[in-house]
Amino acid sequence: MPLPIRGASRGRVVFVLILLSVTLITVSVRGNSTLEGARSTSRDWFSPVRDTFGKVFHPFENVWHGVRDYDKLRQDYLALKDQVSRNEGVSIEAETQVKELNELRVQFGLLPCSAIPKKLAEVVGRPATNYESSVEINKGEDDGLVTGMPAVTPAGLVGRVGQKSSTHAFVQLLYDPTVHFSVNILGTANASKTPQEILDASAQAGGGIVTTTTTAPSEGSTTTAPAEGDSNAEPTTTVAPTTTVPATTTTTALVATELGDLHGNGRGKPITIDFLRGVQNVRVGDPVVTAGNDSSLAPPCIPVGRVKSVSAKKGSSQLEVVVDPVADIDRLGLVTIVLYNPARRPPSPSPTAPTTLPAAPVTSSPPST
Amino acid sequence: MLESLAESSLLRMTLVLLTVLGVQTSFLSEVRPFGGLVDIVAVLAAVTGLIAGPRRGARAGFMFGIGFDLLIATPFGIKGLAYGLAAFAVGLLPDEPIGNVRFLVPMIAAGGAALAVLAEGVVAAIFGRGEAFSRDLFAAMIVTAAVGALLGPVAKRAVRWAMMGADRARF
Repeated sequence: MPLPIRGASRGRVVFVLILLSVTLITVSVRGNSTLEGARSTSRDWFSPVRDTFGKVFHPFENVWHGVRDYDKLRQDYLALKDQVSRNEGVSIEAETQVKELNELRVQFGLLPCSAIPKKLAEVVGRPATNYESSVEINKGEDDGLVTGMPAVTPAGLVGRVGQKSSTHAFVQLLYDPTVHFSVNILGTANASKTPQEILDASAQAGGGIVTTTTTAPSEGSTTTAPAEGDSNAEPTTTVAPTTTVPATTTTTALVATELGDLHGNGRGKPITIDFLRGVQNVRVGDPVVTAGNDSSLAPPCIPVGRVKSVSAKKGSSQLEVVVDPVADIDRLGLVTIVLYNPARRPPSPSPTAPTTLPAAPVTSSPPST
Repeated sequence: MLESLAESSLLRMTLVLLTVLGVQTSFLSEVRPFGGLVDIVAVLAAVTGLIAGPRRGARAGFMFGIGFDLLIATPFGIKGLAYGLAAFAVGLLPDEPIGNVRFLVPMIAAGGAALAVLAEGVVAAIFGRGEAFSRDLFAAMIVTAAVGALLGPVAKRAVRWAMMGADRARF
């Protein structure tokens, strides 16, 4: 009876294979330091092999990208060239505002974003599976990286540090479902202007500073009725001197209006924000930045993107907010790891300090009477 | 004698695996035709199942997957299970027509590799990575099958070389 024995043997192989694999997967999902240590050691050993193959195949990669991406890259180049010329004026204003913001952060005892140490890393490995949402970088524990630290590009947030070894680490990209960031959606303080209106107003003001002058109501004006019997007399109005208040910059009215949890939903799927504290002020185009709460390794100053769409969630009173990330996550060459440790953050401002920064005029016209 | 033979066979198989993993993690992770990732380790596992039979194929496929799992950040063991099952399934195919018809090897390598990619997506989805079951998975199955058909004969030669002398190869 050779066949049944052969079949039983095969069945046993499959049974052992499944049992062993399920055990390993379960242990891995629950987190096991021995397993992770073995993986990190393997990655360190294998990295020279991969680097060698990377160098050998680099010309073929270039040919592939040249054939496949040429038209798109050309379009991107032209669009970027146009955008750079448009942004030149805006960048001067932005630099001014960043400087002011840093000064204010120092005054309030907060660490300026520019003072946080960073580590530049090269992306040396792309996702090697269809559902993996992480890239490998050539910096690791030896460089001070800690799991959870944010990874950014000059444009903004791209992900967080995941598994790491002494010399390499994985950056889990924003569309990874296991990546969560506490974020603020910035809206206007009085919600009276959309970001587009702000930008339009900025453009009308010469692409730079928006100054609006408001004439104070003439409290001293009085209207005097004509004297009785004098039918020809017109009512006379005595107008008090008008006062023009200093200009305010509309763009500085952006404040954190909504706090939520940003997370991915898998490669190619939208990045969304859940658990919004409030629901009334989210608009398409609102900027999204990291909130930097006490338990987060992301400081509160990293741009994430803009609100792409807002819709009602089925069966819930919550909104579904989709974010369009500002960084190009699919084309990462270099990333910067922000070596932020909230434990070393200076103490929070005193309770008497205002929680919303006042609108600081960039330029103000002197009061005139 | 037999021990040293087995050792050298293991050494050769390790060399083949390292080469395939080197190409997979460098060049092929950059190139995604139609959004799908080409998985040549799956091709290797399928061809090993074809040559070594279900039991040894399953073991070899499992080891290939574990080797790959060591280098990536997804839950450990998913690829091991997927490649092991795919190699086992391919190994169950009857010997008779495959040894005689040349074009069957590319076809089986294509089908087996696509099966391994599908199995990986299913296993990942079962273990909480629902995003694995997406449009990209089916794109990956198609491009992996296409590359498997092209590389099947080469992979067959490589696996036969790796198993040379060891009384294992069916073809």
